[in-house]
Amino acid sequence: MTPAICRQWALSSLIYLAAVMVGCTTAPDARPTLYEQLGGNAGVEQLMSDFIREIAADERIKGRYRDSDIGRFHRMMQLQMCELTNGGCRYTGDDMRRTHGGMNISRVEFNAIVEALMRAMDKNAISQGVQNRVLSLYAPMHKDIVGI
Amino acid sequence: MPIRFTRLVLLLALLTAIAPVVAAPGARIIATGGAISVEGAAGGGIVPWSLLAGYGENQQFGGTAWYTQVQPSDFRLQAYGAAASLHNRVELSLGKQRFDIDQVIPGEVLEQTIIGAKLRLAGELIYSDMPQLSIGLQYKSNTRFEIPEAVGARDENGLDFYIAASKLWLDGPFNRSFFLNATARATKANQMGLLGFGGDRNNARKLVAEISTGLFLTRNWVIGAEYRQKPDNLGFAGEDDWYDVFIGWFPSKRLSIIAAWSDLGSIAGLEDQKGAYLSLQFSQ
Repeated sequence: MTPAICRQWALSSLIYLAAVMVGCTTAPDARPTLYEQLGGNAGVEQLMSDFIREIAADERIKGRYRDSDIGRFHRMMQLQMCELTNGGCRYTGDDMRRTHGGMNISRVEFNAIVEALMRAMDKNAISQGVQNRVLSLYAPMHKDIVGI
Repeated sequence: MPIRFTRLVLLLALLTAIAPVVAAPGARIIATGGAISVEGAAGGGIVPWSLLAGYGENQQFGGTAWYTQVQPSDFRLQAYGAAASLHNRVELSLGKQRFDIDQVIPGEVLEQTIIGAKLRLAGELIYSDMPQLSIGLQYKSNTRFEIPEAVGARDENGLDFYIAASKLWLDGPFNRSFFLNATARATKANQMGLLGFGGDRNNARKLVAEISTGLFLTRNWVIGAEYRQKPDNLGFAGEDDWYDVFIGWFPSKRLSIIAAWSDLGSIAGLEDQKGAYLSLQFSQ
């Protein structure tokens, strides 16, 4: 590098750094949130309806929901999905450990729920990449749901 | 294709057809049983993984019946068997290999039977932060020992021990699920045991490393690669490490088909053995 180019480089770096520091380069993030990629409010509401339908059709797990308030379950699943996928909601239900405590949920049942969610996402034509991002948000809940 | 292969395809098709009237497959997510490797344990093509055969979860039985054919330049390997797992905890397997060496000694084959056991110690492939860890053993019995013995092999039976760690990241590169398995094996086997165990050059167990990776393009299609280090015990001919690249198709939990290209290096003095690998698997 010649001294002139070097000086120019240093100067432009300084200008860039200053610009970052005063925040003038922080253009709004154009990347859609995962929530938006799921179709926003309407998309997630439909997805959760289909998810509940899939659960209700699965002999391995439907009995667990026999005495549930399905309307509330639907709202809470929607809120939780919204919060997890950066939709700007706040999940107000009980945490997973409390909700499933004492139920002794088996690994078979947990996998059945995961498959129900996969089928619901397939039905809503959600891309594999978005599905994987969603599933990776739910998978760590295994330790707070299974066998407690 | 030999007649036996055609018959096996028909058998698998029949099993697939009657499957709905027997018990539904186990609860684990599709493809999490992997395939069955040529030695009979759940794994990739040439590497045993920490996964257990089939789809059984707790309180369930799982299993896979399989047939695999490998066609390196001058040989042909036919292998088949069955593996069963209980409660996603223990796996027992039985495999048979027949290796056609007609190009070296006209009309001759090498054969071995492999009995395997595997125990899942800890972890869960998808759901735990730690990888799934299993230990296993393979008791191999060479049933055509005259040729291996003549070229310097010491034993007709051998015991391999291994420890394997597997992990699947649901949201891996390109938002695709990414799989990694690492296996360490202690073995005296020459060409998996087809050329017996131990030899004139070395007669002690060697610790070898085996690695497999896979990237799920969708839930039903996976591409990947494998590496398997091998001992080199026999003076009459060198033995090389193995490599393969594969594509796996899991149209359902019942059926999977794995196709690969394998590089098996030098075998019995014939160099540069490369060829296709095809495996059919029927799972519970």
